[in-house]
Amino acid sequence: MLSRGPNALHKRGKIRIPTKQGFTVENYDAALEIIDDAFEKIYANNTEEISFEKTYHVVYNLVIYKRSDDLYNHLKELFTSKLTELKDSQFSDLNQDWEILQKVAEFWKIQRENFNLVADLMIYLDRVYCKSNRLPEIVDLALHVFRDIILHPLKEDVNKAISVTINQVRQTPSYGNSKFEVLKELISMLETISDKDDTFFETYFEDYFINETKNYYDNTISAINLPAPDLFAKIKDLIASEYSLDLNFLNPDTCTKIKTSIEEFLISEKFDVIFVPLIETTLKSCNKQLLFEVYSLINETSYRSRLLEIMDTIVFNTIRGIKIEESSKKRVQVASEWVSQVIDFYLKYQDLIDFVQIEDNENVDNDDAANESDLPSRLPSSHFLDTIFSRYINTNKNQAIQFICFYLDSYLRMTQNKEDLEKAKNNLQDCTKLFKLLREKDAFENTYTQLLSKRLIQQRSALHMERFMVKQIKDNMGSFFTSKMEGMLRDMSTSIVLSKSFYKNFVNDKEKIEFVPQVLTMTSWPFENINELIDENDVILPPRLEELKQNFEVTYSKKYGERVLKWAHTLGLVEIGFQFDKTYHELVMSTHAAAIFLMFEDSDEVTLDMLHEKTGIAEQELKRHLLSMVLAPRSKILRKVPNTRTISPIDRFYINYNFTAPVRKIKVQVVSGNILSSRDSNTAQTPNNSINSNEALERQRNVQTNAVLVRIMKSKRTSSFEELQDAATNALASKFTLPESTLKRSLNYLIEKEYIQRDSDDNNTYHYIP
Amino acid sequence: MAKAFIELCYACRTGDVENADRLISTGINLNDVDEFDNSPLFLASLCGHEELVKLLLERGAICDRDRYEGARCIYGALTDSIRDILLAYDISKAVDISQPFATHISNLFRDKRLGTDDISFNFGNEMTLSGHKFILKARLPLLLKEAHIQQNESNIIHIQDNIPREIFEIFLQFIYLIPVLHKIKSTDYGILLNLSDEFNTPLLYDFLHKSRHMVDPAEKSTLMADYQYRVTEFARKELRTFVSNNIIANVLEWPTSTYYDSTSILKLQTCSAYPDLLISSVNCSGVRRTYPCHLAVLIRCDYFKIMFSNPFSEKKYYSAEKRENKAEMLPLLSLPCHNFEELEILIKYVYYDNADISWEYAIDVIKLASFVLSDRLKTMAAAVITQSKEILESISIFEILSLAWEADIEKLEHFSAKHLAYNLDDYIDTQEFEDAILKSSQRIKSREETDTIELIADMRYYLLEKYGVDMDDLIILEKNNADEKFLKSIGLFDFSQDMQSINAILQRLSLRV
Repeated sequence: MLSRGPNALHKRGKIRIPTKQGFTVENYDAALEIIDDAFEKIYANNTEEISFEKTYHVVYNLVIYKRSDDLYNHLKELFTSKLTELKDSQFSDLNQDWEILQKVAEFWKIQRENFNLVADLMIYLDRVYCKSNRLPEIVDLALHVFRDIILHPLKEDVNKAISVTINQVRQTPSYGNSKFEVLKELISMLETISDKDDTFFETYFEDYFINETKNYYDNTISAINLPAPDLFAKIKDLIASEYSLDLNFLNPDTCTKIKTSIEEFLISEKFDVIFVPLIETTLKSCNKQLLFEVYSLINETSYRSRLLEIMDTIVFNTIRGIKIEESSKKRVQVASEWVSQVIDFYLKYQDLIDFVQIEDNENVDNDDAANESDLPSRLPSSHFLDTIFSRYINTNKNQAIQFICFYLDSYLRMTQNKEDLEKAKNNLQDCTKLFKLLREKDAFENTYTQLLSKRLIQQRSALHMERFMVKQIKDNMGSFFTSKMEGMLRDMSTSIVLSKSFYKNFVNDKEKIEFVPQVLTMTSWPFENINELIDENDVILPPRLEELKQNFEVTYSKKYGERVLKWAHTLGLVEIGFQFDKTYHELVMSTHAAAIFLMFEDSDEVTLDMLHEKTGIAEQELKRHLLSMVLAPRSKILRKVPNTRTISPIDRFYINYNFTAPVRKIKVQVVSGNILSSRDSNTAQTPNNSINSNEALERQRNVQTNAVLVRIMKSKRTSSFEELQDAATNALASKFTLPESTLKRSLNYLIEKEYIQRDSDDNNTYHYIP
Repeated sequence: MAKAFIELCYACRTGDVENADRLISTGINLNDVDEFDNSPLFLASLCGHEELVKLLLERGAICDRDRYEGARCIYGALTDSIRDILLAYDISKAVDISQPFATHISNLFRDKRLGTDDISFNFGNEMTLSGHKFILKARLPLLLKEAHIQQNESNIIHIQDNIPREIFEIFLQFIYLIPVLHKIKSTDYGILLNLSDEFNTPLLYDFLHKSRHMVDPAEKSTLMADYQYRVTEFARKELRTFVSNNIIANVLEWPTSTYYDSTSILKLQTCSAYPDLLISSVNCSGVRRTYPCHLAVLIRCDYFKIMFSNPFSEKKYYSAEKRENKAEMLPLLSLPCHNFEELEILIKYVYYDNADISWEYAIDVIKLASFVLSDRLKTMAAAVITQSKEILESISIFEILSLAWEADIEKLEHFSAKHLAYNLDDYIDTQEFEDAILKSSQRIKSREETDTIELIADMRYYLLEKYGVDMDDLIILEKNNADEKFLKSIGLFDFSQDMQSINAILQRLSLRV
């Protein structure tokens, strides 16, 4: 197989030319003539007369004999002169836009075919010469000539003509069907031809066309006079139909570009005209779908944040529009109306915003991790709302705290049957969304604890509801706030256990007094002046109550021998059933009042002295209770002689058998101090009281601030005032906003106590004293 | 073990794509293993030759990840991208992949745009299929015989009524090397078995027999892959026989001095090859040979493809001749040849991917391949040159270099530069070397590039390789004060000596690098 033929390696040299037109360097002109002839035949549409074999051989030889440069340049000249000639004869007098387009498209179709034919004839030149010399291939060479001679002089006309034609199609869609084919041809021409590192389409046409499209729609939209939502719908239709129209002749990329550029244009130029009213309407009508569309349309960051700002303002203004009837006496009703309105708004907007899935990316990142973990159930979208509502709520924080507490109080009191229970639970849960936005959380805690203690002592609420609520608070604000509340609830449960064992041992059946002991742990309950409450042990109880008291003390000391049990009668309540002349009533009153009322068991007529002697209640106190029993319009169960509006030592008291009322249960309120007009006990937040609790709050805050400062200084050792302020504010943020005055007071206190000291040189720097 | 297979394994290690392609074309079983149980695919993927991995998969190397061999390839893959290629490879598609000549023949059945088909099958009704006589002659001679299709008399074969068109089409697709094995429905087995028995297609017969009762799809797919390979190789053999018995044997030869003899031309046109195109050439001794050929396979070369895809005169003539079936002259095309061997190599290549190129003809093959625009044949011939040990005894390296430039074969440029670098002493003082450098520098001018002369740059690279010098160590030379002994020990001394002699030539030629 590998045997060498005798001639195989002989006479090696250039490849022999087998054809009769054998080419030598000398008759280069003859070779060019063949090329010219083939070229002319292609342009004369006589391709069938060309011998590919012959022409190919000529090209091959020219290349082999290193005449590629000449051939290449010759071809360029051929194309140039041919296209110049054709341009002069065919494009001289065209006026109408459409005529130009048709002509160019038709001309392009023919030229493209001719170019390909020439390129195929020159394939050897392409493969061997153009490729290795990095020159444009023959087709590209022809396209360049075409570009320079035909397209460049015509480009303005063509661009304008296309744009005019398309504008006509936009106005009369049916007009388009016959045009698209030509347009498509033209676009493919522009995309085929390259210019300046890109296609002709991209360099000269695309931007022009997009701009023209923008102008067209600017005019169209400005001419439409419709309310914002309708206008938006109309614009959407326009954009959609533009997109499908563009797809008829442009590539999808450009179609998308046009679409986005119209959208961007609308957003940037027409934001105030279209989108601001649109957002207002969507928010007012709660049109989720529309808001979603608007939101997804506006996806550029700066406009998004503008959108959010507008939404922010609108929402804030809406909730600020909630009316509070300051004048109304019924604070509770006002409070609960306000709270439920706020909650309604919150839920409404939350629904809206969850649907739209607003990402508030600026703020989400900044949230510190601790905060996140405290509030696990938090939705990302609610951040946006929380910020707004928090701003609103904290504009009038004291009122908000009060109102929220009243609202909670009223729901916890009301609940009786099961359906209401579920409803109330939902309401309470919704309310958690609000109170976690409060900045002064400790103030909220304070108020809530006050109300809670009242409810518990007066047994006005179901224990499991209270537990549910406390758990909500704990989940949303942290266990720090709920330790006292939990202590109170625990007292209640232990009291129930105690009373069970008490009943087992002492109560005889025939004369049954229902006794509900409430053993309260001193530290958990929010009473001022605890000592005053329990120091009144010199009160002489009616004998049966006294017996109960002693029996209970026995039970208690059996169980908790080492604990001290003291009685706070002012907190106790006694219920007495009594048959008046007309009606039977259950009278609910304080222990002291009961002691007074029970005096009438033994005698029909009682004087102030007798009362003082038999009950041991102080005179002032006696007068207060008597006033409420004699004068309070709803609980006039006693009458006195003489019937005056004050209590004096000479007065004599009798049971008022004429008393009657539409309800069975009568509450005997204790009139406090000099105020005679009885108020609902729910509004017990008298000015006096609130000052007291404010002081307590302030004290509590001071303590916390001290602790935080010491903790910070202990680790930092040295710190400037600003650093310290930042650190302390951060540490206390979950409880309350640290006012500078509190911080300074606290600092002075700590310096006084020699926990820290000022730097001797720099007043602004503090050192920790270990 | 076959020498070619061992060579293939070596090419897979070194990443020599051209050579591997040439070797695969000889019909090696790609899924064989060497003495260490390594398959070519494993070697290529282990050594990180991505292009080679692709080539192997294209040519039918199997990577079944459920089997030891396949899993080994995937785990052994050097780069992630190779691993991804292997993982993306789907065994079920494997049968669809085959040798280029087989793919081409398959396409002939599907794509009839060039109108090379010259026979039609009638099925009673008007539905017909068409095909090529020469393929039937090569692959299914019994059918032609039975239908009495002798010479160019008739163009229609009537198929018996009891054979449905669909099933006969599958059979014909099998003949055309279209991977149909997995498409055969169980209901078709009977007729297909009869057909393959009647017309003697033993492989199809065997396959049908074996797979008939096979249930396990994996087993069946393995069987299919195996048979598809065997079918392709069997077809290659048939085509080889066809070429030598019907094309080469029928060649018409006469001296250029005499004129066409119309009788012998007519005889050639109606010969057993059923030609539709005549290829003619005159060798260096002035002898003319005319081969009876087929456009259907010649279009594998772009030269013929372009010639007949466009409305030039050749196309017009060919179509007219085909359409009217005149017994006039078939289209006659001449190719420039030095000997007839390269023409025969080209013919064998287009018909059945023959890559058996003797080094003596490699240069001629490159020239011819370059003329007919067949890059694959060109690179395979170039691979032969780089593998040949004897070629430089008869042909100067500069001739190879100038061919490399002329035909634009980078592999040969590197081959020449390497040879010159390794044998610099033999060439440094020759005129040819100087001319080559000058020529190389002139090539730059036309490229308008930076100041490198490609030949020198390449040689520098191979000199570094020759002396085992690390590119980073070249800084040492610049310092000028290094110890000669030390320089010698790391090869830098010899390197700089050689570079200096080359630079001397460059200076003499006043070339700046």
